[in-house]
Amino acid sequence: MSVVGESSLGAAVIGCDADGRAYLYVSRCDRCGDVRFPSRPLCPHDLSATEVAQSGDEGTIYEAVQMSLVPPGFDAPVWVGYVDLPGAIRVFSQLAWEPGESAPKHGDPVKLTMQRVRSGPDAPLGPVFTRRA
Amino acid sequence: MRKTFLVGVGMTSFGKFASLGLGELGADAGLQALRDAGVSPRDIEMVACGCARSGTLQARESGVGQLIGWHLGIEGVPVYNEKAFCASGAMAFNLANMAVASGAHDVALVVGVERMSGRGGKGRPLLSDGMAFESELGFAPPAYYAMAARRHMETYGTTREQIATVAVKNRKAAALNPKAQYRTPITLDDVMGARHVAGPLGLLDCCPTGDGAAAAIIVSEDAASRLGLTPVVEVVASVVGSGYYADQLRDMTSFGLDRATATRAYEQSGIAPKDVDVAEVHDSFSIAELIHYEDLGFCQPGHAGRLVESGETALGGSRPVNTGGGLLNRGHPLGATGVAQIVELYDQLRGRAGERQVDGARVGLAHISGGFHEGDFATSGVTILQTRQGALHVSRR
Repeated sequence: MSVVGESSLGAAVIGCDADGRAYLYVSRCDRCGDVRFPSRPLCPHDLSATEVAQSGDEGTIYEAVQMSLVPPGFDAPVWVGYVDLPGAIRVFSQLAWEPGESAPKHGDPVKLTMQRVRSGPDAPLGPVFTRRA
Repeated sequence: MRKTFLVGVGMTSFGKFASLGLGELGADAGLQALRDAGVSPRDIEMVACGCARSGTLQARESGVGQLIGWHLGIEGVPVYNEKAFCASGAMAFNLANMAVASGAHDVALVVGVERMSGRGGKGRPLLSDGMAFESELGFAPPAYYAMAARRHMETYGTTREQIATVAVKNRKAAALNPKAQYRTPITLDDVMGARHVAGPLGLLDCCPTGDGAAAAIIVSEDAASRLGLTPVVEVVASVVGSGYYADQLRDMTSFGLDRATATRAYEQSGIAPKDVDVAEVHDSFSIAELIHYEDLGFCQPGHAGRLVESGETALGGSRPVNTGGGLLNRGHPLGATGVAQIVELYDQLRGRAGERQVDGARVGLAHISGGFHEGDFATSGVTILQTRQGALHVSRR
């Protein structure tokens, strides 16, 4: 099964450990501590080589909107948003929100999961955030 | 650097013209500009062409500028092709202006062109070249601006009605522009009741795709004298920049790249925001125009909703914005837009904008955004034009 990032960046952006905890592949600069997502081979601040690391799975919504007019291949409506994760990184992602739940908003705590991001047999796995208690 | 001047402009109608190719569209605008300036194709020393998506939309990856030059009988000169998303035409303008200002060339033709009506995925939002990974997750530009709208509404109390007022205002101006794509007047209810797109935004808050071209001719003072021209509109600032990608925790109620290019343009020209009489602002989405008011210094942060509501940025107001209808209504053939903004400002500064003329306009500002990369804009451009003192139509204020 394909994973988001493989076709656009040449590498998967997300993985999952044996306990089912999802993580994003981020890069970390040993020299200045800068963390990047998507990962970069060279630190944009000092151009030193970075190491690949795993992100945490708990974040906070910066902003979220429901899209009714979606790109080809997606089924409307879709909740999308920017989620801030530790390490000062902001991730564009889908949000899995059940009908009837109060709409996701700025400041809501969320948890990273790895799920199919579209319907259909070829749908890749990718980051999807869910409500965190 | 030398002074540079605009001496002629041209523009096709914007809309859906399935039978016309990039060459025909670009040449139509270019020919109008040559005739407007009274300059022959053999006088052109360089061509700069902006066209964003010819590869994916037209299977014409290279040489759009050469193709247009061929149509116009322009031979043997350097032709540069700029691809910078929605700012492609503005980048071409910046390049040509730099070439003339530096002394490398004396007469430059700028063309912006795009043909989008035949694209696949019709009725769906256009995806962003710079957001390939995010697009795998469903990213499309309306979602970005919808999130910015939500932040602006929550942070400053900007209302849905104020955001919709941008679309109504710009449609009213477009009704007076025979070259605009959408000209039928609309109401606040039309905008707020339109098909939902993303967050608070509906279909009438989003610019359309379309076909079209615009052109402008830039000359040095020496060339003007040699060609017997009397230029009256000076390019007093032309600034472009690329995104600040490193700081991802950006505040979406304001766009830092635009603040940077605007500051540089004001410094370069010695003009202050209060001096701007008429502006073309990148209203790809209604909310964008409001945020740009603030980043361009037309009002304090958080005051843009009230500014548009006051009518001061409408025709008849103290500083009309998007007098040609803006991207929302004139249309947004990507590469053409940056030059179409220059065409509108030139007509305004020459006092020949017809029913939408801003009385006494002497200083015009054009702002454009282009593309996304890692959550920031990939390009921003600000151009300031000014009539030469006493050269033109007299202020009636």
